[in-house]
Amino acid sequence: MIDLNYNLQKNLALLGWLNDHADQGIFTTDINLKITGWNHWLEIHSGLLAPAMMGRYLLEAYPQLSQRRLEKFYNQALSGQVVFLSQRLHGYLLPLPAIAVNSKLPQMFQSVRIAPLMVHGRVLGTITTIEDVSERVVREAELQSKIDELQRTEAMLRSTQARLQHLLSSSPAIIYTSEAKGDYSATFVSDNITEKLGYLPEEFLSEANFWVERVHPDDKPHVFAEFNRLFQLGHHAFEYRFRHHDGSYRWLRDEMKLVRNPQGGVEEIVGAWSDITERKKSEAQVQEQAALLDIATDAIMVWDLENRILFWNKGAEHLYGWTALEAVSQNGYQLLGGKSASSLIEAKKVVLARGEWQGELHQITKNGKEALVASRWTLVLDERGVPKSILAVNTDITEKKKLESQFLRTQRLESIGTLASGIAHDLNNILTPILGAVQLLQIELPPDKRDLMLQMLETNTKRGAELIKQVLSFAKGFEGERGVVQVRHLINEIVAIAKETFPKSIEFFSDIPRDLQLIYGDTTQLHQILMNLSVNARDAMPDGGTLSIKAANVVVSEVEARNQLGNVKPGDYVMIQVGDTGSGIPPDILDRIFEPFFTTKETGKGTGLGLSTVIGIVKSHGGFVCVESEVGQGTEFTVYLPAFEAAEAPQEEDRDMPAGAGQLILLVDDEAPICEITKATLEKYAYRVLTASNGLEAVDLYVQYQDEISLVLLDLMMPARNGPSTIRCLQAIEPDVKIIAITGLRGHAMTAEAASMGVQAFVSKPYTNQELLKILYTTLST
Amino acid sequence: MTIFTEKQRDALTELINIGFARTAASLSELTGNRVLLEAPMVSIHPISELSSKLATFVKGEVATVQQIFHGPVSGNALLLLNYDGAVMLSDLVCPEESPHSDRLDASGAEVLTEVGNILLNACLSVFGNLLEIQISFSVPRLYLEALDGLLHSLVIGKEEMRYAMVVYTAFRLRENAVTGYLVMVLGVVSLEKLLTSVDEWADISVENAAQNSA
Repeated sequence: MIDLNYNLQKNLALLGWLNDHADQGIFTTDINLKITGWNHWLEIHSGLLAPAMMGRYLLEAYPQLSQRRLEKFYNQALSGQVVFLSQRLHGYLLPLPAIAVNSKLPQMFQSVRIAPLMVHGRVLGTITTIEDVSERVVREAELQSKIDELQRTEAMLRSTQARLQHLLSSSPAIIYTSEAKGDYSATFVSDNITEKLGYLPEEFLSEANFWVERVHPDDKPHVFAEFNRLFQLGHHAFEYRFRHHDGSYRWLRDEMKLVRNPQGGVEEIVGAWSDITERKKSEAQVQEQAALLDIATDAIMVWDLENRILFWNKGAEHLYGWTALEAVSQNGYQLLGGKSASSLIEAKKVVLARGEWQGELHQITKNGKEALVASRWTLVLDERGVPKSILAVNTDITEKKKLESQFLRTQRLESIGTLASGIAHDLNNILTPILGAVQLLQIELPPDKRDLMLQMLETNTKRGAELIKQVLSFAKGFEGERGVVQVRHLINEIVAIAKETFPKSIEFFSDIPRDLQLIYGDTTQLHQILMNLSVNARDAMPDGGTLSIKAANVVVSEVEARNQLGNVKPGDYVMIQVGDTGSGIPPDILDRIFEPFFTTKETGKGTGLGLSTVIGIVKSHGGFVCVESEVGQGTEFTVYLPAFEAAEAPQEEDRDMPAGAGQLILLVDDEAPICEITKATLEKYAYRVLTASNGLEAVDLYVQYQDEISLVLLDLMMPARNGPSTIRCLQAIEPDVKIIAITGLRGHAMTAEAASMGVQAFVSKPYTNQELLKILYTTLST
Repeated sequence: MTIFTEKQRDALTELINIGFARTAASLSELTGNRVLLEAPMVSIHPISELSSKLATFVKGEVATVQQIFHGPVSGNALLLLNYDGAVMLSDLVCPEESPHSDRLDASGAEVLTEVGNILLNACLSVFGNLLEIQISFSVPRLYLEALDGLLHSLVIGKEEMRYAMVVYTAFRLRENAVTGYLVMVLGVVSLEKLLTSVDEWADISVENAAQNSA
């Protein structure tokens, strides 16, 4: 009994201890839910002490239990069931304040167990345990929000990754990362490597030397040398060949960058490979084309619209002497302009308007020499069709032109040669009666006979003079400048010469309208055309016939222009037709007659250059030639030359003979007759004249009359102190002395010497009175 | 081996359905949403066969709420769900505004414990009333473990031949269904007592029904 009591006492003490030290709220009730126990934890958290709570009905102490329909759980317990109330579904059982650390919470969160107190299968009451889970709930909420945040981040990361993957695989470049040490093995390669190089990314990642083994053996040393630069600079790009899966080599551009950690250490290499095979191919092509440009003998250059030179090939260096380095970015017009500066401006207008231009230009080389070039310009447009630059190809035709003029000179001499026999014959015919008449005049003759003789003498002398005048006018000016020309005059001259020199068995017929249009050309060259055609006509009629020369104004239509070879433009033309009634040209050789050196004449009689000269000259004048021939009937050559669109009416021949005002002229000429005639002419036109027959005499006279002499007219070709030395002497006496030099031969060395000495003007023999008076007047007026 | 008769099975099904109806009512009241439990499908197996019976349903970890009961009939009552089902059920019975999670935290586990407690209380009290005995319950506990470990813990230290009454059902709520098993592990003596009572109850029911229909 004592033992039993002791054990009971001990158990009660143990229960009391557990009850008061438990980390949970524990209270008990009887079957009427009257509180029978209220532990220390509850005293602390509810602020209600056990003595005050004991004996109170639970539902009276906490009426909200009924309101919150929690009462039924006690009924369940009283029926023997154990009931569990989770915090999440019920929040709490008893409204207790949250402890300080969770002071933000409105209540203490609780999870609760309500169980029956049973003895021998009988329910005596209930026991309730309350666990404070506030801390746990708060932590769980924090954890959950962190998890949510992580999930959001993860989702973002996934979408970023997806985007990145899309970008990587749609990028034209292959993206990779590799280790920055050891064998630089790849750690990532974008999927598009399969498309670009035929390999799988895994092949790269699994094999350490995959990349190295596929770099072209020739490029390896260069690639490894470049690696040092990557580590020096932190980034680098280089180009090398890499073997494609199909065995071919592709050019790659490899752009690398070092990725560093915050401490500055190298983490890895990030890089991108771009396939630049196509670019390399076009670069090689461009280089080939550049090489082609450089071996071209033509000068090829490009300048922008501000005339700055952008490109200058080797041909240009050769032609102009300026190296590409010197020429590029210079103003092209200033560099090469020369006499053509204004033509360049015109040409630029044309090229901008029409897209192309061609023509001849006089340009200046680096060492000051003049270069004549045939220039072809093309306008270069940018992608939007806006003019960007001008491409010019210039061919040096300086030598060609020289040869051409030499050739023309040869032709001319040949023509003169052809003429010479005729001239000799005519001169003999003229001189024979003169000689006869002179002999007759030595003896006494009746006055009527004498007059007849003198009349005959005069006629023949005039004929002789006329003949020489024509020959001279033909020979005059080898390199005549172009000007406005009236073809009628030319034809008349040719007809006059031909009449004198061609066999008498040939009759002449010419038909030239008074209103024949002017043309723009070189008189000498045009003269030669007519001469060559006339000579051919003569040669075609060894037994005589009719040589006809006609001219007319014609209009060439667009269709007719297109049917002609070369660059023939439609419009107004002057047509000149030279026809004969000779043997005609057989059809099989008609096509060949304009070929150089083609001739049907006997050896020694012709060079075969006549017609090719004709066509050359006509073409250079923008015209064309047609020929019609019938064997046995004759041949007709028709030359078309573009009419000159003159705004003004052709000027009438100048008949003005300007007179002097009593100035004293010193005339120096060793030929007395010329001296006399010139003196008489000058005196007639109100000049006073002193004459000297040589240089010494001239200097003497000049010393005497220095103050009175206004001008010295000096023949350069004289014995006893020639022209230039006389000029020097005169200039020594009076530096400002005005001198007009009379020259016999153009281009003679002496003329050049005189020119360099500052002679005011030149007049060449033979000169007309008008020419002399005009030049005197002009020189004296300056 | 047929452990129970067709009649016994029908009676058991009917009895458990009463427990399920109470559970559904309790859960509906608690959650404020309509909760249904599908009609039970009952079978009884020796515990050794339980593994193959459940293996088709659960792979990997299972969540169980267990309550041991004592009295003239004693044993182990379990609500068994696979892990995903456990998470989902816990989530579905909680108010919609409470935090969602794809794992079972301590508060979620408590919710599941309470759900299991309601179901087990309802069904066991039906049997208690039937057998006219007072059954005493232990506090419900939640266990997360592999199926093998669970089955092992049910057998270990028990000399008596044990059977498992397996009740398949599905919780339907908020347009979702969570399938699970109610498992009652009983010793052969307890099972015998239970089946005898079930037979008696079935006979009375039939008589009542006959009288009612008469």
